[in-house]
Amino acid sequence: MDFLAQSLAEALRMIWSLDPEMYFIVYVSLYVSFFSTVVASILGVPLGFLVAVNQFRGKRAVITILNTLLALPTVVIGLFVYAFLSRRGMLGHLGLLYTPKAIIIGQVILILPWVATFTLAAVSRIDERYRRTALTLGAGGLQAALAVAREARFGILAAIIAAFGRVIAEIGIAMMLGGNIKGFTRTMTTAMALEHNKGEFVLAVALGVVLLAVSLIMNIALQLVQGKYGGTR
Amino acid sequence: MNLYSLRGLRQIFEGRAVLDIEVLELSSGVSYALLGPNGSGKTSLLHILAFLRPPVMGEVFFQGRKVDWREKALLGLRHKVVLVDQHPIMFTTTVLKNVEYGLRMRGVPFRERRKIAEKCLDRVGMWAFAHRPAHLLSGGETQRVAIARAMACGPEVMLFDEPTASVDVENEAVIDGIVQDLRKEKGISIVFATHKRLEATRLADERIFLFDGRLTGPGGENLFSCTFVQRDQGTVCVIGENIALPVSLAKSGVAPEPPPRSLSGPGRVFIKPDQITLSSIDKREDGMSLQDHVGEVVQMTAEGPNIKVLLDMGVTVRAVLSKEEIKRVRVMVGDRVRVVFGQGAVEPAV
Repeated sequence: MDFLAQSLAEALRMIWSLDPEMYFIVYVSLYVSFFSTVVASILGVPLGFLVAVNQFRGKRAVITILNTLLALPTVVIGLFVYAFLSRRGMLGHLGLLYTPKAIIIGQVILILPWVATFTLAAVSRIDERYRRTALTLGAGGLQAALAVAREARFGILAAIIAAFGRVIAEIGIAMMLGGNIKGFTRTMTTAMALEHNKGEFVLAVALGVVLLAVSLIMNIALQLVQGKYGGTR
Repeated sequence: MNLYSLRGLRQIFEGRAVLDIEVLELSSGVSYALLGPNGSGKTSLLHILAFLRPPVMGEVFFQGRKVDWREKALLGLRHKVVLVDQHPIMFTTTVLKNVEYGLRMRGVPFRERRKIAEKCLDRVGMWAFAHRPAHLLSGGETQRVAIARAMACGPEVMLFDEPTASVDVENEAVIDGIVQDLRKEKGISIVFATHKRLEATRLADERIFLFDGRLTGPGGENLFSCTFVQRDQGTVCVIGENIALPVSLAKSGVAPEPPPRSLSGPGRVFIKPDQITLSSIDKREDGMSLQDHVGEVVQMTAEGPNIKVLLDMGVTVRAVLSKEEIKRVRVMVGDRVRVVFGQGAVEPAV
């Protein structure tokens, strides 16, 4: 147990001393996670919304597929995207493999179903009367849809935050598509795995602490937003 | 020109026919009460009148023009008509922003919008609540804000779905007052669903009765489920536990088609309120007949030149008598009276 306590103390010192290597790793992690979440939200929120509000043939099938994709293992995505981005692959000429962009592409595929599914669930829960009220008050189709989305905003925000939490903590995609290149694509999780392999715990523990802190901050932010109008009758 | 003309209207909801209206004409500047029990199709009709749900069959004309149910064409119509739900829902923001919503959708500039919204809130006595979160209001307050929100849109027609069904007496009085003013001061046409007959009498110029999705005419006030039984005297309907009345099978304007000659089993009957007479219980002019029953007067209300008497006979039966008749019989609320149903007062309802 001693070594864990020692590592923790060292790790806190590292965080406190603003170790540049450690903070660059954190930066890369936040950078790829942020952009993959943004892209997945831009695609996933409207997708989930459209599936929720429209009645069409095959709606159940779409929902089932989305739910199945929730369980997609990161290594499968890593392998799949690798096949496209590797030099022999269809998009090999773009030279994206082992860049942050490659990680972002993989992570978008990972969390798009999450954002879409949770948006769908959040919007489906919204009372039909919101849409009807907006329409009778003179809203057009799009405006009424926005009024419904506005009511579902906390659910949608929660979906986005959950998705961010998912990508910042994943390792398979970052490792297989990013390649854990020091100072370029090394993320918190890949760095931790490497340090663990080397038997060096200090950096790993420090990054673990940062990872938890990021999670905590995201959740506090969500609570604050919800608190503004989240009261019940 | 009629405000609304409905022809051959049918609405089906989850496989069940909820509306079946041959013809219904509504005039401009008039206040209509839509009466009927729960599930009679009041809300479905209001949703059609508010252009929120197209009917499965039939045509709707609004201000002389046939309604085109394509979404794009409806926007202009919806700007003229606004519906206040039975349980209105508030957007999760302040009361003021809720009231401004319709104006915002119409592209009214901010200052003007705020001015109108404030005026409307003031009118319903909710000005003090302007900056409160709207979804935390009580039921009555929500109803009042919903009315202000609808008023702010400046509609030509306002539809209310049971505006006072779930509010207390104080809020009910306020809402009644607002609805009356809307028509008198602003000339807005009003259709409101209710099952409070007193409210209908107070607020409406005309009443529309719905039962099982069909217009039933004024007889709809006295519509009862019954069991038909064949006796020596002819067909008799048994209503509740202690009313048995002979049924007139003659064709009349109320029943759309002549019923089959021999009725039996469960069914429905109309009792025409104007064909019921009352007499003192101790007078035995020519003995009690099958037509006669005893009931207790529970309510009397003025209805134009007549008096409407609510009689508790196990079920509540409504009778309409002239003022002279009431004076002659000298009945008071609380009295037990003999209730005589005239020949042909009871008709089978289809």
